[in-house]
Amino acid sequence: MDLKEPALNTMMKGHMKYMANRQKVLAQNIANIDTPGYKARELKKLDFGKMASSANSQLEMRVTAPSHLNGTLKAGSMALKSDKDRNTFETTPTENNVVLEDQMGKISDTGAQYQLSSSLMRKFTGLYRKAAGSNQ
Amino acid sequence: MDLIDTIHISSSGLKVQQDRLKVVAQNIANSESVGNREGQAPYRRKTISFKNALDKETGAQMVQTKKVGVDKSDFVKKYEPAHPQADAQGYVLYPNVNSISEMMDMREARRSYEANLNVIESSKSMLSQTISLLR
Repeated sequence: MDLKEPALNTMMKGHMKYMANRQKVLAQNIANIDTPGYKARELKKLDFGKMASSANSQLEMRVTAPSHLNGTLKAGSMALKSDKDRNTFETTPTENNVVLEDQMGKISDTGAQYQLSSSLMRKFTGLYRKAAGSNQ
Repeated sequence: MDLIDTIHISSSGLKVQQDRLKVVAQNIANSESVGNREGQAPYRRKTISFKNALDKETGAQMVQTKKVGVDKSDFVKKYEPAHPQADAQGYVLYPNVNSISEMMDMREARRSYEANLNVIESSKSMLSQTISLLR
């Protein structure tokens, strides 16, 4: 564990990043709800176990010789890629498979999950504050 | 930042729904507009279609108005011999606007507009939660 960046913090940051990214993908779906031929997209599900192990153990590539390349993927970060959503249950005659109810449900889910990690983060920083001696 | 991008994407959605509503308003306003001179065609119903466009700055799939076209279906012919625009047989051509389908289109535009607004609202509350971490 790194003292500068505790594993819990890294994970909460990763979770918030994932949720913000998912919000973006869902916003694209909803904006394109009347676009003919548009296919709904979705992020791959967040694997919390994998994230936890990578936050604890993943090492960054290090430059030890001038001809080495720097690693671009930071420790604990993950690649977020949106893919076609295969679980939609309705397709309009214009070949658009965005289901508004489904997307709205996902949006509110994302909001709730984001709230969860942001309040966790607040509690966590509160611990530091307490240790640092401030009254809050 | 992703949440700011979200707001941009949803506002592109809001914009196209506004365009759609504009077209619907034109159609409804002109649903009785016959030609000015004898033999001139009446108002033709306008249609709108959307396309998705990649925003190169954010890499997001925005939405744009593709084209405002015209509906090529036949005009409505009504028998009104007393009408100043009536032809020799007493028929007047009226626009091919069906007010019921325009109403449905309007309602759909409104629902999609609301959906996009909800996304903006939700992103905004996520952002403000993040900002409140600083407090």
